[in-house]
Amino acid sequence: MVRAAAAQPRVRALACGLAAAVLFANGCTYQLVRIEVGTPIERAGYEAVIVGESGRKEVLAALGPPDGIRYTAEEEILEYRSARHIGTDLSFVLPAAMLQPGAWVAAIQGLFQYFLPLHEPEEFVSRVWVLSFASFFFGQLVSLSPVETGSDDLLVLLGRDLRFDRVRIILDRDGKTVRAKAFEPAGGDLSIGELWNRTLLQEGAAE
Amino acid sequence: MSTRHDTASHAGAWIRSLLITVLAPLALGGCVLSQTSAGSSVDGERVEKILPGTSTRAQVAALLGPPDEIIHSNLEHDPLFERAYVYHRPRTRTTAMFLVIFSTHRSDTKYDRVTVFFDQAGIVEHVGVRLAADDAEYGMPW
Repeated sequence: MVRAAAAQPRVRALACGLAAAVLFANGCTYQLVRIEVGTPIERAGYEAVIVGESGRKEVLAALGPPDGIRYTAEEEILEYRSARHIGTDLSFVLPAAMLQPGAWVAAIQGLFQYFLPLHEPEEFVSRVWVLSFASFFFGQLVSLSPVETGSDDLLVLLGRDLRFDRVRIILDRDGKTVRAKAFEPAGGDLSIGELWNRTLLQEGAAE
Repeated sequence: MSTRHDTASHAGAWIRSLLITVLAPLALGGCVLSQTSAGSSVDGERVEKILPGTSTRAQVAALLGPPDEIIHSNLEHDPLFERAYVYHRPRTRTTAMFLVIFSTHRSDTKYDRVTVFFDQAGIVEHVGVRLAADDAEYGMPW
């Protein structure tokens, strides 16, 4: 009974903390994105295409229909692509005042224009920063509240990694013989954690 | 003693209510599964009826319909020569989950793709087929 009574303030503090976190963290969001387009290119299929021997028929049998076909004066070029994109977005909804220095001053002036005397006494000017700060603070609370998130101003940390596997097969113009081939692998995927770390490092490096 | 007990149970009920109020939006966050396709799938049986060395452009068009793309080889003497017909029908399957502050999104796009090459006489030379639209997967982004 004593233990339960002692634990109760902790539970209450946890509940209040959780409530506050949900209330104020509504202004920030974290998003994981993964987009894949196309069928992965198999290395074995690429290796089965032999320069000087294979023709278009063998290329189609090994790699399937190409994603792109181009012709030059002497060549037919078949291209295969497979794209992978992973991303992390960390967004903070911030009031305009935090992103545009001076905007909050204009907002305050608009708010208090009816109260400003035509000729501002020195005493009022000396206190206006208090009003400005109060309004700024209140605006920030409102913008982060789940009740009202009217601000469209976002500060976003983006981590994006777009990769292509690409194969290019160059044949003669009639498609009889492969003249050259190239495989540009995108490399291994970054994990979400690696991408996130890289994003932060890039942000730091930019400073 | 009884009063203290009533106060404690009242506080417990208050905490439970608060936790439910806070956690419910997290637990009931939105989940979305969607699938989008452009055009109907390519019929594999119809593709098998296209015979290299025999079938003509007209027969290919009769079997598979008008192509989504026509590849011109731009030969100097015949710049409008239709070298290949391309049929590609994408299918995208998307999974998304929206919690209060955390969301995930994954989409996977695969294609049914058929490329039919023609010779100078308009007869089918080669056919490349990959029917992979159904391989598009739902999944989480990690």
